[in-house]
Amino acid sequence: PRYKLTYFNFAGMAERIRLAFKIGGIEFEDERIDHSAWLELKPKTPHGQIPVLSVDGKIQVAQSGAILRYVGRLANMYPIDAEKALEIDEAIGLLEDLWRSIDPSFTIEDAPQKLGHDTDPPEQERIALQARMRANLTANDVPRFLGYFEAKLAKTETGFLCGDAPTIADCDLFATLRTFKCDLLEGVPSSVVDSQPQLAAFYSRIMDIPAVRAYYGGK
Amino acid sequence: TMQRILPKFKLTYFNFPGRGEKVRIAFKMAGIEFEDERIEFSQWPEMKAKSPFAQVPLLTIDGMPPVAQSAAILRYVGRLGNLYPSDPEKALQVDEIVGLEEDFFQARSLPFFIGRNPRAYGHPADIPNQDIQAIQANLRSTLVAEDIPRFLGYFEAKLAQSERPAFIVGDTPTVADCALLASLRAVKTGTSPGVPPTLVDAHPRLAAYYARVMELPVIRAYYA
Repeated sequence: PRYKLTYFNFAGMAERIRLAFKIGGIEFEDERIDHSAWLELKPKTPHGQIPVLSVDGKIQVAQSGAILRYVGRLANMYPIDAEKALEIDEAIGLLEDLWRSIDPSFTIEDAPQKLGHDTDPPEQERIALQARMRANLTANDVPRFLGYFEAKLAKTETGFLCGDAPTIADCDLFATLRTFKCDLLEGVPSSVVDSQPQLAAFYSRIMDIPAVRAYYGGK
Repeated sequence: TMQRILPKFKLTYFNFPGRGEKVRIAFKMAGIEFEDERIEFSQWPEMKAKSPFAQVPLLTIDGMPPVAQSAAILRYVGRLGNLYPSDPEKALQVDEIVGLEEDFFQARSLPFFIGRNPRAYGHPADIPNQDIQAIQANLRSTLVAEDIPRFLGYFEAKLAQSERPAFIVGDTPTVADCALLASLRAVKTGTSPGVPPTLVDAHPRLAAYYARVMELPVIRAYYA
């Protein structure tokens, strides 16, 4: 079947899926759309969200976690064994919690009223609020969650999060780490990863996978 | 017949539905025994300090170090209890509903989360209580007018894909039903403050689905 993943032209929630396709060696069309294309596509999606996965030209499903697991099953990166999958699902869930703690710092910029703020605080105020929220995340939530993975990697002897080969948990962790490493999250410095030896080594290890290195073009 | 001998399970969560309920429902649907440990808020700070990730729910399997994350535990119980297909295409549909329900839960719970940790949402840490309540009331009226009907509409549309839907995905119960039931119950039983229970009734297939699932013997017994 022909797979197409549709998302914006940035990492976001789709990156872990792209990595699963790449590491799993499954061909897919990595469709990246801009804002105006999104506005046109949105009413045709199941829930007004992307990423969506199309199979043989037809949109099948939304929900990045569902798509990630589907690709994982096809790519042998999400085992059937209940105990092994539990470990992977726990890791993925923790990363989703981390992103949920980061999300309000995005919403404060483009839709502050959703968080109970006045609809139109002046730009300066939004930026100041965002900076404060990001500083708080850098001091608290980010090191706390990354610390869990630093500890987990220290315990495994294989260099991967769950078992002796990459799984979708590794795709998810790598995608998250890359956001910080590439300074893609304003106000959260790459030192949050560089200061953690296991995470830094994990990052290099995944980057050294040929399909991953090729995907990022050595960047 | 060979029966898999199951370990002893203990689910630890607060004494309300929240994120734990879908797991409780899954254990019941699967017919798997478990200790339904419910803790008081006063017990939480001490437990939190000893828990692996400062969160509940937690699943303890045969006294081993506990596992966190409600959706992980849900899928695990589903795998043991034949509520989670291994076929990738079927599982994809189940996972989509599980993810959507999680989004629904998050959206409904936002006013509560803002009240619990205003600073995380850009409000002053010392924001007066009456300001928080005004914010929550405002957000809740938007939830009732827009977001909740929107999510319910997605589930209604899913049921409409089949002429005589038995469960939310396919002909047999899955963890998607466990998750959806938990959310529908939260709305129907008024667990979400300011949210009228009647919102589900505006969606006929969903209302019928709810009634059907609540009539399953294990579910009826659980909520008796």
